Amino acid sequence: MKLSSLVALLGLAASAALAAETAGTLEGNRLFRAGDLEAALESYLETVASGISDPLLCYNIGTTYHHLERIPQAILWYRRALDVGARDPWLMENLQLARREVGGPEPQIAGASLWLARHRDALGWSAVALAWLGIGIMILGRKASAGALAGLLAAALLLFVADTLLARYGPRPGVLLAECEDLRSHVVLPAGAEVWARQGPGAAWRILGSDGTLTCPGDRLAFVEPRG
Amino acid sequence: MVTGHRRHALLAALAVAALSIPSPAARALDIQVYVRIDPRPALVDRPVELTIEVESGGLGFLRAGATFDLENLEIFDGPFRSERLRFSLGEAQRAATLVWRLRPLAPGSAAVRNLEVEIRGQRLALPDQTLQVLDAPAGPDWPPPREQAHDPFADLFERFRPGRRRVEPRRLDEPRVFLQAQVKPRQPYVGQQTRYSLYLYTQADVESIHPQRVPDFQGFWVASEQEGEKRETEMVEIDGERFARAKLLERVLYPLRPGSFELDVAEVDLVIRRPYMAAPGSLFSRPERLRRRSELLHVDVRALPAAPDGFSGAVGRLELQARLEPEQVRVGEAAVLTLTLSGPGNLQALPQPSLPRLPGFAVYPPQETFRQQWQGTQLRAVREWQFILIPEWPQRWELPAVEIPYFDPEDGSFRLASTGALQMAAYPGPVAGDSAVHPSRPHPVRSAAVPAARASDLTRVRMLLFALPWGVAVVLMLLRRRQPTAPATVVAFEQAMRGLPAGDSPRRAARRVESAWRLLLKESWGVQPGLAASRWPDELLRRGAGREEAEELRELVGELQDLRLLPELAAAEGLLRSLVERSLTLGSQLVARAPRPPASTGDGSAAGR
Repeated sequence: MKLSSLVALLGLAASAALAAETAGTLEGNRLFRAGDLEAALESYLETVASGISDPLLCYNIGTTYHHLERIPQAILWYRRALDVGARDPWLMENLQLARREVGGPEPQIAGASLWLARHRDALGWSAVALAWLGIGIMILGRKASAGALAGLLAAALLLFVADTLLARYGPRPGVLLAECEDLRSHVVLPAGAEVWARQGPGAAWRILGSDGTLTCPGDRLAFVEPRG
Repeated sequence: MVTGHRRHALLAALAVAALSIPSPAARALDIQVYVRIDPRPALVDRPVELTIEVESGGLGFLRAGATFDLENLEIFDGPFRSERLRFSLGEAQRAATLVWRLRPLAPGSAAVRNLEVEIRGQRLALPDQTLQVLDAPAGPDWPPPREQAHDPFADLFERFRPGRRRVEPRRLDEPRVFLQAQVKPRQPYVGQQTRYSLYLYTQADVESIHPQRVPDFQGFWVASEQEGEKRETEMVEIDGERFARAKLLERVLYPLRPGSFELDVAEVDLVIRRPYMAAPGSLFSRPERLRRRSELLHVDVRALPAAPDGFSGAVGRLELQARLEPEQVRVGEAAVLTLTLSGPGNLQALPQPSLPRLPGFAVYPPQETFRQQWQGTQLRAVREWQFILIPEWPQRWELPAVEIPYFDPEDGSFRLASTGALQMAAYPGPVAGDSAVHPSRPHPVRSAAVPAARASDLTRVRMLLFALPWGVAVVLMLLRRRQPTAPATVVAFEQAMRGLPAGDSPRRAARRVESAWRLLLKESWGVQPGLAASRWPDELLRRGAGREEAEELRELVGELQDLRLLPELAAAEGLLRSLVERSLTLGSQLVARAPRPPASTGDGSAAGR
């Protein structure tokens, strides 16, 4: 297949996706302004279920939940909008308002794995940069030491693997959709609390906290980045 | 000389005077004297009155006066005198009253002795007046005594004959009055609330009660009596006799240790009204002082059974309640946890209850309050502790129950007084950097992505960007493998072939070509440079070269021989050109198929030259 045809095909696919996303958002907006919040929410979520999402849609879903006073879900979708790059001042204000109503921002916790999880993007981009550096040396600098070049590429590969493993097994940011209690320490996290969680026994998740860990059932926790 | 008129006037005056002067016999028959001292018994520093009443016939003034000696008494005020004249049944009678106000000095006996009244020159001795003086409770200040007025008549009389004697009244049957002390329960446990009560049973009217002695309750801790306790009187029947019963004293006791204890007797001084029959049909009463004593009481205090862990000495059926106010606060704000322990026990002696561990809270030492109140026959104590709790981060908590073990004397076992679990939520305080104007409702939906960044799956882009250089590297490697860099031998061979000088003779040109071939074969096939050219093909065959390449080389060697024999280069140009082209082609093939690839310096220089 010719390259031009391939590009054209990709462009058409993107345009179709964009059209579907816009239609779903517009319909949801119309229903929201008409006051039918439940129907608006349903329209937005159908658009998301079809695999399309953007920060605008995430924000609209979040604020619709917020107006329905379902604060934990609102916080979740606001965080998703932030995660995909939104920087809307309305988004930030709504998120602050929701946090004030529920439980505030995530608690300050420490740990190497958590630090890595927070900076996972930096690891990934570092791997990309090292890979391009290596290939650049390989192309342009024929006199470069093979060992150094191999080391550079190995480092890039290592960072990329670390990024992948963290994405798969490391702590993930999430929002509690229901209250979660630790029967041992009697600590109760309210619904809407923003947490970092790691896979626990069975279907449970370990919530990373300042005094240890708290285990919550999986159905009470929703992640900012849903894992496919 | 007295004239007739003057004589009559004088006789009349003398008659009047004679009539005025009472006869000694008349004085002795007409004077009646009454003396009394009130009240009885007296109280220290409380006034009593000594009253002397004199009655006599006739019109003349009595001009009564009295002298006496005082024991344990002093004149506070008086005498106060009064006289009056009255007519009864046609006869004139005069009555005089003398009153002194006296002050008892000390508890014990007091008396007015050597009492004599002087009336119209006659002195009458009166019986001594005695009375009992008791301790008085705090009362109004004793008024300062006035100066005694000088009685000019008091010194005129010295002794008088005693007056008329009064008739002694006839006494009635003596009323029953007694004290009774009670302790409930008689066999308490250590620390159990025990009640001591002192009752007065009486069949007479009691004017005053003066406690003289109460037990000191050795071995017991005495709780304070309730303020304003009223003494209630009730009628009871004992062995068919009716008594009025009044509670004189009540104390709440807590035994301090096991063993057998004696509660001392109690003594009370009473003043009752004793009735008497002064005359048939006329019933009167007069005060009488009594002392009564209760019996000795024995109390057996039982020891507690073996106590469980955490028991701190609480005895009595206790209740423990907890209250949290408010249940929702902001981080940094205070909530108050109030623990209330109540019941009929010695709660003041208990230590402060310990709270369970509360992570996420700053807990401050509590404020304590204590009070007691009567509920029926029990003294119920209430002790409260108020803890200040300040949450340190936003969270929802369930505060575990607080428990206090206690001993229930009613069923003789240990129990737990427990609060329920409490819920509390802490919300964040004002977020730092908040603007003063903050929406109370969320913003609505957006219809355009303003000013947000457009969707991009950065993770996938990142993966693509990471994979791309690897792909490029692979492609480059493949390309370089397909078009490998010409080895130095081939480069040198090509340079030699193409760099043949133009004016060379055919022989010289042939020699150059042969030299280039000799070097190529040495570098790539390891053929000895001294080997004759005619034997190159066989050598290559022996070393594994292909037959076609070997035969092609044989032909080239033959043409090379022919070139040497040509006389002029002009005639050999065509041959030379063909020889060079075919040599270049065959040379590259042979190098490519050589068993040992030649070393490549990368810069085209011939290795080993």
